[in-house]
Amino acid sequence: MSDREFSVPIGPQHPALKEPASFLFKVDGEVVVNVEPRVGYNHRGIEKAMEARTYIQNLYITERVCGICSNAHQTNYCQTVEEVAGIKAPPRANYIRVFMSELERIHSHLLWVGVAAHEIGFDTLFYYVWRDREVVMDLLEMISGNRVNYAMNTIGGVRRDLSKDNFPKYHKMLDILGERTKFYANIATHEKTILDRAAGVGYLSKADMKRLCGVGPNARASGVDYDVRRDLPHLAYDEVPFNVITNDGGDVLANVLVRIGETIESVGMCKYVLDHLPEGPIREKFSPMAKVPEGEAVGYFEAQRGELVHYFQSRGDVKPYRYKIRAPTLGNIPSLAEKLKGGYIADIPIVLAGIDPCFSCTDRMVFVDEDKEKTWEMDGEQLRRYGIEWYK
Amino acid sequence: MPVLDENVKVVERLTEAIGKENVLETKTPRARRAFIRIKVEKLREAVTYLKEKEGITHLSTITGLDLGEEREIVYHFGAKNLALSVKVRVPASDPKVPSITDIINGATLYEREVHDLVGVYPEGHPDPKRLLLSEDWPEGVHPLLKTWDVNSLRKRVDGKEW
Repeated sequence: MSDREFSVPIGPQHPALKEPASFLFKVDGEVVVNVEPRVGYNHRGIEKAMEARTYIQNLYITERVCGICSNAHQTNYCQTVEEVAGIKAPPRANYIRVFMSELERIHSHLLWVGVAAHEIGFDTLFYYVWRDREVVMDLLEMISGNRVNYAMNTIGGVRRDLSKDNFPKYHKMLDILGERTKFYANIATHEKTILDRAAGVGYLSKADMKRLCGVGPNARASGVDYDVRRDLPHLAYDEVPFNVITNDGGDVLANVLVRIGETIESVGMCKYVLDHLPEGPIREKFSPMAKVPEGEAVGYFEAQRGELVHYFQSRGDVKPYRYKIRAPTLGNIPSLAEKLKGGYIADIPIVLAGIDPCFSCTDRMVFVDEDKEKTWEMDGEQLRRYGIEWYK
Repeated sequence: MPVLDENVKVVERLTEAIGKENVLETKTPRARRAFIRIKVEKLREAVTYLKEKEGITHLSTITGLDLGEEREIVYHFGAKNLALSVKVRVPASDPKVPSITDIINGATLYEREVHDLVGVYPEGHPDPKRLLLSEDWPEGVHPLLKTWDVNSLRKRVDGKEW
């Protein structure tokens, strides 16, 4: 380490979103030279807990893996267990699952656009986006009664049906969402406030992204053409038409454009599902104390943050023998670390937020000058302001 | 449809590449899914083959399982129309696998996670530090092993009854 370099530990409370993770930054002046991620502050032993609970109890554990992708985890859990149990969810259930998954994607992506705008100090856009996000939150609430944790799934199908009487209303709400998102797509490509802070920031090439096994919108923003919905279709995704959005930009701007593009696609998919919803039952029977026969399955699911992988092994018991969950954020950390290298301290919040990490927010961070043993602290809000001031 | 038997073909080609005697078990339960269990000595060769000849470079994750006498490590690869799981088993008395991080860079965190939770050490990993467990977590306690349950873990780690 040269005498020009400093170590800057950031976290476990870190500068984007609301959960803990820690990054040790080596900086040379304003430039980040190296990044060492440290996760695990939020490790709650869910996989161990699942081994001690029945399949129905686990429905509610998987839904609580994450607040934003609650439906993604639960749906993937259901389809993975169903595969081993030999249960086929009825077509109508799969369409409803697609509908919920895409609504969740819309709300998550809009939330992210708001957060990203906030990180670069563009709070007007933040308020606009979050106002419009309320439309999809209302829609989710109308269907499930909840704003998060919809509890829509059960093993064998879904727990609530969609009522045809409400479809015109749903269509109207989706139209508003589509229209507003197109408006934001226009803003993102023309507004100087965004372009100045997002274009060319946090760049990672396609080759590096592939090498580091990045997933989801983060990978697609570097031009990696991989989307589980198309490449390993699950639920009814092979029947619902949509485009996979990629962008070769590789920077934060590309992340914004990919997520906005995906939101527009999702609106279209939701409208398609409403128009083509098959008739029939919404669930197969699964007894709460049913034993699942011996076997194993790998469940792939495109959550809003990317490829979500569950691995399930049954030994013929009422509880799983092993249930493994890999959430998309862990897959995106190696590429995130690479993205931060060579960037400025002022860009840390937006690059971190750029992958839409599912862990957390900086409340406080410590800057350490190793040579002089000098320590100073800064909280997350200060770091955000530091970034905004730095770009003035 | 050609796409639907691609899983069988990839397993056949991989078997041929590393030698039949090194493949212990194969399964293709449905379209787009394949499981193959190989000898642990051939792991790096198999992963290199998948990367260079099949273009399967995306490692989704690594799962570790406690099978009593043995530990099973499952490498999940995701590709267009194929989710391939490559398995190896190592004895519980000597739980070590060769690291594949130098072949597939994205494996780095997953190998550290498996070491933390199931105690299988990735030999040759560039930075085999703890990933998930805290610094004060006792050495040699791997919580996903079946020998531990919530009560015994609590007693061992905190020194308290549940």
